Amino acid sequence: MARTLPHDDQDWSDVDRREEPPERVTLPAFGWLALAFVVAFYLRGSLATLLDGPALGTWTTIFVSISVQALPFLVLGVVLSGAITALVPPSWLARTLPKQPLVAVPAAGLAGVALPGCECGAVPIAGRLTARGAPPAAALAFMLAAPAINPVVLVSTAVAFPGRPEMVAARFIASLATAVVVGLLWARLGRETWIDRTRHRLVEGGSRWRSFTEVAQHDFLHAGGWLVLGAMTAATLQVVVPRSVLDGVADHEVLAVVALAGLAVVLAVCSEADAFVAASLNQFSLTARLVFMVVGPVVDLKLVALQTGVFGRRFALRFAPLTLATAIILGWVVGWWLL
Amino acid sequence: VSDRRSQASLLITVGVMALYLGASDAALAYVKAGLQPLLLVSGGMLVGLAVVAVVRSGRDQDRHQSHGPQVAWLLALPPLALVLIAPPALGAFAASRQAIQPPPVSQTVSTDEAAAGVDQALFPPLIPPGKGAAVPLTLAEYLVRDYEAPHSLAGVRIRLVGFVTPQRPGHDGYLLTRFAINCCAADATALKVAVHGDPVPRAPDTWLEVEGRWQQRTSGDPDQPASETPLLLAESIRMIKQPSPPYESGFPF
Repeated sequence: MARTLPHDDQDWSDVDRREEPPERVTLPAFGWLALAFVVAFYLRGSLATLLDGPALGTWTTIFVSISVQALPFLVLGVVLSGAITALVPPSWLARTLPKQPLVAVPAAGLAGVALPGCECGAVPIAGRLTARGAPPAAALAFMLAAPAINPVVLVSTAVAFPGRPEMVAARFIASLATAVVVGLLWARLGRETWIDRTRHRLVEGGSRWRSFTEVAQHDFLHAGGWLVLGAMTAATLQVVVPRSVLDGVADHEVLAVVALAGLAVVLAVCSEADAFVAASLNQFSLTARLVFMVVGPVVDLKLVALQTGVFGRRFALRFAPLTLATAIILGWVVGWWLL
Repeated sequence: VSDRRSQASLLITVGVMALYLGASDAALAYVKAGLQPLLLVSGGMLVGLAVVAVVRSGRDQDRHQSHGPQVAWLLALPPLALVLIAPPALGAFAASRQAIQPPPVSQTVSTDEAAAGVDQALFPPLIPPGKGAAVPLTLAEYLVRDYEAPHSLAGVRIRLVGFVTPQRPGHDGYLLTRFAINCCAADATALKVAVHGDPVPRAPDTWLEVEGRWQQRTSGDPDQPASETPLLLAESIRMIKQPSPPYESGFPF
């Protein structure tokens, strides 16, 4: 254990020694972590046969790939949320953003165009924006819109559906409408107490570099654990429910829409790739596939877990069903109108 | 995760995993190669954050105790799973749970449009590299041609690569299978071609390079509609190692 050297000019008087547990002889937490890796390394040969069941192997592959795939986007998100805390003064957002939700929410939704990337990054950013004084409704609209309407996602949608520019237009309109409608509903119905703000209480003050690194680290650990939990849930459902159950419902218009909305929630595919998955589901109607692409970036298992981590359980329990219902209805309406 | 050194150790663990996967072909069982540069960058950032946390833990002990949540320990699971299980690329088990479905086709060609002219432009004739040599095709291209321009496959020797998935009961041969991924293994779609004419029984998940000729899809029973699985009549078969990357690309970039 590192000890502070006597010549360190640390002021010990303001450190409350009683809160610190007495120095124990047992391993500290990171020691257990290191030990787990050493044991795992030596067991890998003997356990390999035990863990070789095809279902478990598939589960682990899907679990690892969802976690790994989301990681760079999560890091991008927490770096940006660190930058927001370091560079944006606390009162600035509240002063600058329009007071009227009818103006602020659509504007925040449209601002999502500027954040290229997947949905995982947007969640910690929205959490920091609310912590920095942005109205929750506007931050949430940004969070829902950004992963669906940014240029990277729109281009990949155009590539996945060649010769069908109306699919890109329909996705843009339905996703932005979902973000704005959910934002406005939240402005009207949402309660301040539903968002757990203790999760963002942090050492304020110190240099900009300090608050940047503190916030990035804090948000990564917070959101990352929940992301892993979401990936585990999604992998479990993918292994337990075979995808072939979908084929029976493809011809039924209503069931097809509901089934693909459910698939979007379970698959937890990143929004830059979901258009290609949608394109490959060609036994389904275009409207059902549009609903898949509208639901995926706003509600899926890893996102719900992330939102639980960033905003709290009371928030996620209300926000996820509201968003899912809105996305299905608006995707359906826009599909009926444009496709 | 209450002390800085635990937080730093988690950041290092995840960061090192990202750096390793960013630099190693092992990552290709889970994600597309295009994600690897991003993994390197994010791994570097996480290790950097960890270094900052370690430096701070020595400098201002417990004065700025930032309590992390217990749930953060779950972050150790993906790296632990990699070390302990080293999960393989998706195989026959996952493939058998996906229905045989049409490939991710270009939507531009509908069947009535697929007149000879369109055929020629989208599906140029397959020219063997030498006399009697086979034309290598991805499973995706074989499937698309089988559905959209079957005549372009007729009469040409073709080479396909994939692993063995057992046929459903009541069908001959086995299914030569390969997954196509768009982003990560969670979105993998199984591409399957039924191989006929192989006298050797093949174990599931065996990787094969099969050369043979295209056959019209049939159900084997004149009263039944044609089977959904494209067919290949094998002429020569070679066992190979799992290719890298193990997956076909779901889209061209």
